Amino acid sequence: MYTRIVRWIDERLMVSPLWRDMADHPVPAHVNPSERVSAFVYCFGGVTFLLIIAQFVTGMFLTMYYVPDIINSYNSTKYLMHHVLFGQQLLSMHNWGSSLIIIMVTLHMLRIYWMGAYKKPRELNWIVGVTLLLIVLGFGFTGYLLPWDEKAYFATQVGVSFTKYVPFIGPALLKVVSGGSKIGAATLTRFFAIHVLFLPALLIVLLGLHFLMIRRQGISGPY
Amino acid sequence: MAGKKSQKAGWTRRDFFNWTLNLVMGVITILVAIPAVGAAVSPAFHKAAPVWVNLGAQLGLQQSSIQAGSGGVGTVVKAPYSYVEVDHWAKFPASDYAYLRYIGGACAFYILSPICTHLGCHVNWIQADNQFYCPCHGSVYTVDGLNVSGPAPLPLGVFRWKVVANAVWVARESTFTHAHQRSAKAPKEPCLKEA
Repeated sequence: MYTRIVRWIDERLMVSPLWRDMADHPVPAHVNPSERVSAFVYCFGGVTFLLIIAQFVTGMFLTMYYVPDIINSYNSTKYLMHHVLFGQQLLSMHNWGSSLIIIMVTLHMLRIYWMGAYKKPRELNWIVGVTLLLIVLGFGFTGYLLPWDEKAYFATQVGVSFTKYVPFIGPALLKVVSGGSKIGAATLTRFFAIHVLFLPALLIVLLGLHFLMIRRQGISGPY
Repeated sequence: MAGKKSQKAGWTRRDFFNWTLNLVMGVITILVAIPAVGAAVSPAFHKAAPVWVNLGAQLGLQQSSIQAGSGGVGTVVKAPYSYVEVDHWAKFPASDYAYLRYIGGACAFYILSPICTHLGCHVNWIQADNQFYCPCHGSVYTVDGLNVSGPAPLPLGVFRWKVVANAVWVARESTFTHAHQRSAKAPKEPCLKEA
């Protein structure tokens, strides 16, 4: 059955070779943990990608219940936690997953840094990677406000207040980031839009570039 | 993976890793899918509970019905009430009214929903005709809520009600127990009073 479906698709689109190219892509021995256990450090990027997929899935389902509005966001989050089947688990996976991504992406960056893998010819991929790190931090920052509880509100107040120390444009930037002269309804909708539309779009494009470049240039080392 | 058949005897190291990888990825997928799909299908497991609303003191309602009628027999009066409408996470104040009639005996009250069974307008009680009229498409109901004329397909809903601390409470329900179904089920107590 399965092979027949694959054959049917391949007769028309020939996708199997593309898949085989990815799945059977050989990696050098120094990247293979079964050759050398310490090679697990090469997994951090892949683990981050896996976690990002999980964040996409859990986030999509969370949006079924979440309302980005100052009256309903807290109540809808509470409703999700207490009255929705596995709602608490779903929210917790998204919450813990975000922390894990930041940990994994930091380890990934440290591995690149200490091994000097950012050097020529991989400078462009390093720049894309650091941008991705900033995007991931942006996800964490904008997502933190969404439950609209005390912690979220005041953490965001502190977070956005940093922008006013930017030379010349600081006060204007503060208003742009918070959507007004105080943290309120406009901040919440702004952060929600950034969290679920703007950043995911950017993330997908840059991740695509990240993966294309690593395939093009290969993994660095051995050292 | 696609195409290759794994033969037990000739299992290669590559086959083993392939299947292990598939297994691990499958387990991860299932672990993510359980709460995700669970949350999505969650509404199927929710039961709608009736919302009980307070119409006011039993004695006051009884007297107003008798005063509106003639010769000590109660007639239909509007019994307004306000309550908090709960729509999942959203709560907002709402108000509506019921048509209440004192009928005496053990039953005491006969409480009708004002919602026309045709398209959901609020019907008007016309004392002079002893009938309900719907302002939208002219449906007519008797004092007992039975549809006698116009497009209304069913009689008016009868509210379940009970007395708590000398106050009358009615159950607002989306599915009404209609007068005709009601009389077939329990003709002796058409008022749907609950203990």
